[in-house]
Amino acid sequence: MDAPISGTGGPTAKAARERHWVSYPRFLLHALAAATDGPPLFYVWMILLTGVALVGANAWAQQVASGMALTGMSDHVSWGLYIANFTFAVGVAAGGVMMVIPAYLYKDHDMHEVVILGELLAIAAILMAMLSVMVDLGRPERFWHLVPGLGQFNWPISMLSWDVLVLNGYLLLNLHICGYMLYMRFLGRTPDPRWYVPFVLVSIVWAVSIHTVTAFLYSGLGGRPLWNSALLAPRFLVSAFVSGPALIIAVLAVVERFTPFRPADGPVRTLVRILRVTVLANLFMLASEVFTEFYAGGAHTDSARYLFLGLHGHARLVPWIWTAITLNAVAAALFLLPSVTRRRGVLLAACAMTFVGVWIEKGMGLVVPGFIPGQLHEVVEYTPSVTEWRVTAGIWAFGAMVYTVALKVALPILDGRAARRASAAGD
Amino acid sequence: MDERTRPLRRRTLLKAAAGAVGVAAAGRAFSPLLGPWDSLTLDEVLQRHYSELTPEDKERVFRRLEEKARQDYGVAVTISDPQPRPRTKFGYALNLSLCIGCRQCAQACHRENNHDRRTRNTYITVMEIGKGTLDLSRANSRYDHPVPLPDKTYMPVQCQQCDRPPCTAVCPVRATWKEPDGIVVVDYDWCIGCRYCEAACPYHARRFNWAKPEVPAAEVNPDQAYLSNRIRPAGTMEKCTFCLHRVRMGRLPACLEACPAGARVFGNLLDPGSEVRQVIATKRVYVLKEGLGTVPSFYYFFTV
Amino acid sequence: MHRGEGERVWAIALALGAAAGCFGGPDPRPLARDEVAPRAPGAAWAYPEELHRPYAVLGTNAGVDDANGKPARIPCRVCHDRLEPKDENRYALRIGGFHAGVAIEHGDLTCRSCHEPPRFEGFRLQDGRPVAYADVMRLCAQCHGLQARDWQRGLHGGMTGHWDRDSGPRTRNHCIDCHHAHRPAIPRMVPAPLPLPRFQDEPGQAARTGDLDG
Repeated sequence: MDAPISGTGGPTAKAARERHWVSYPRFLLHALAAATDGPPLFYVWMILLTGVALVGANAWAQQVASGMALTGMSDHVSWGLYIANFTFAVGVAAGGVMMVIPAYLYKDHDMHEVVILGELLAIAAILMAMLSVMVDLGRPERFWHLVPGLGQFNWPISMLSWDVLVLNGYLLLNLHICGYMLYMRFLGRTPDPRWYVPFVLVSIVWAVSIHTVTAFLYSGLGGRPLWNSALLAPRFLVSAFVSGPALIIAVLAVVERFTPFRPADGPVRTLVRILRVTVLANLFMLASEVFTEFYAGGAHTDSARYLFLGLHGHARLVPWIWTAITLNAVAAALFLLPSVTRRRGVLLAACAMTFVGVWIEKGMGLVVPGFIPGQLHEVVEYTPSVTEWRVTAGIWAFGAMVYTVALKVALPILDGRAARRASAAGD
Repeated sequence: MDERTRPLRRRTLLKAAAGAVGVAAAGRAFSPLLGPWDSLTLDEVLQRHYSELTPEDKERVFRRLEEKARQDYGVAVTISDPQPRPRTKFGYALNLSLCIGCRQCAQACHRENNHDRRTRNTYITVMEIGKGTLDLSRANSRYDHPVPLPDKTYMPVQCQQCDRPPCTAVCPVRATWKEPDGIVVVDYDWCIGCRYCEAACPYHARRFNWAKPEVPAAEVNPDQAYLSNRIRPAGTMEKCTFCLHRVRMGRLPACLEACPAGARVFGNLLDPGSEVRQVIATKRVYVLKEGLGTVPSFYYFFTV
Repeated sequence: MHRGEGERVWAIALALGAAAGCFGGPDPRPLARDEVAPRAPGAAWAYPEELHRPYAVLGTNAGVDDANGKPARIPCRVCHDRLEPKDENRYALRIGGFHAGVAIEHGDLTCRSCHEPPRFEGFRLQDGRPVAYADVMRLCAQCHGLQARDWQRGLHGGMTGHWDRDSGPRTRNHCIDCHHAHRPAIPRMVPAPLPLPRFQDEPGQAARTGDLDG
């Protein structure tokens, strides 16, 4: 293996002088090999995802070529599926913090073992969020106008400029934390807390900030009564703490089923305890919004009326929101069952239901109805076009690819399998 | 060692082949991008923000845009850049007692500003409101019967040129801003097309170019300004500029000239003798959605 | 401990951001303000204000076009130099003969409210004084004082040309450009075509347009 440059100092000092320019490329090469190697099912999965991602890429390229007219959006409903997915993906990214807090603040050892699953999920979700915004741009080739220093960055006035900062910051934080931890474990060394604990603590606050900023994006608009609510940021965070943990429980189950990695039971129990609270809190906040809207009434309630009951005979979103509420309510009931942690099938069903429920609630249940009726109370409805569904599926497939690859690299390293192999090869 | 490397090598080869197939597929997937982006020159892609353009830059950019209009629309246009006049802040007033809802203003806007012909786009939405209310939630913008009906009020709504515009605040790239004469403009060559401004505007004053506008050569208005009625590129936002290319030359906006009811009043809000100031001084005026604090420069009033 | 500190920092950062948002950054192009009036009150303009006038003399349309393609006009005096108006038509709202088709839907007014023989070159004010066709607005202003005052202030009636008459002239309409004297209500008209909320050639466009409701 790489020898220390000089013999002075203890083992820590020696390790610090390790020649990273040799070992880091080796780490990357190992990662590349691990990411492209696996059982047949892995190849099937990756080919499937690549196919869907390319279909999405093609749909996006056509949208750029012939204009956003290929989407179902209009001057009345000027944001649709893309921004809905953006909002949801930011939530998933922020939701990963529900693993980080127990692991680092409450020294939950079992959670600490698998916390990187949450951090890697944040990376994949942030990439999905960024792609969702990218495909929503009418002039994607002008994205450099957003780069501070290069373009004209309207910071701090525009909440979107805050979003650019916090999303990129969160991505970098998680890339650093995951990259550093994995690299150290790959080298078979104990990570130096100075190099990750401060970043982890910052990332906890940062996770809250990304979804707060995303909520402020909407709630700061005085002309959109459905969004112009102080409850929006709390609602976003709570629903993020539903969708994130729900997805991670499912991922832990998949990991247990398809890989040699054996996560402990503790993390799932902790996540279920979190979900028992957040699913109910999310429903409660929705109920508070509904009460406030409908009890007071008036023209400002029209969006909520359109969403929940339909307005002037237009009711395209009504099935969506009631589906979401039903899914979340049933999931809440299932999570409350004392036996839910033992009954894997029930648990996964509850996770799937609430994940879909929150997805609908934030997109078709919040972003779209914010535009209906329009600012002059015109009702123009919205249905995502085939192009939008394709692009969205492509982004999800891309996110799943990133996450699969990340887990494929990370899990053996965490297991110690990679370190054993590396040291065997070194010897 | 050999036992381990051989299958590995075969597998590496397979991986490389799969990678090549993947790259080829990706190339095909992205191939539609080669169509319209062929015509994008480096100069266009790297063009700076309006506020950073030197007079030489402007000269080069405007000539290029004129040439592009000639190629794309087969018509010779002039693109000018009239500057705000000193001590001038534009204001508009509209007499709801007179408006008959004929949408001639919207039609004039459509022609003057080189709007897309397929969508019959315009910056003006005319609302039909029953008597006894001014609540927009009880209004209808999709009427198509002969007007005016005796029991209705008609209310055209266009950009209110707010003094505290929510649309400019939210723009992440400063592609839209308020000029010294009060007109909120868009640099169509800087806008990234995120449509946040469209979500923020409380007056439905903004429009997005969902596709490249179609205007027959014979109908193109060749008197164009960079910040105003030049034919907008696809994928960018646009909005009413009070006909900046006209009003900065001292002319009246197209919607005012088209109004057969004489319901529209335009002028310099800083000139106490101007017609629009006369409206404010002698009539009871109101502004749309005043509670939002946008401070519009567009006033509605009644004869009595 | 750590979390508490982190959240405080976060709150401060947010508050700072919000404060910056409220006060805004430096505005590169400040709004013009009314410290100095742009022009002295009542100062003369460089260009005139013209009054649009449809016809030179009072008359009636012949119902055919003249050589220039404009409706041929027959001045009143062509006949009324020789013919006395019939007295039975004094309070009529509809009359026959040459004037068939004239119908007065203008409050309680009748023919002689404005027309007074033998002066068919112009009109008659309520106090009996004559008023020329060119000054028809004085006639209207007898009843419509509010509108006349609004017109004088530039608040009523269409115009074309320049808002700034130091840059160019302006042409203004007078009453009977828009209001027919006999039926002053602006006639009902078919409005200009509605804009479509989306592209016509989009599949499902018809359905989407049909969805619109106000």
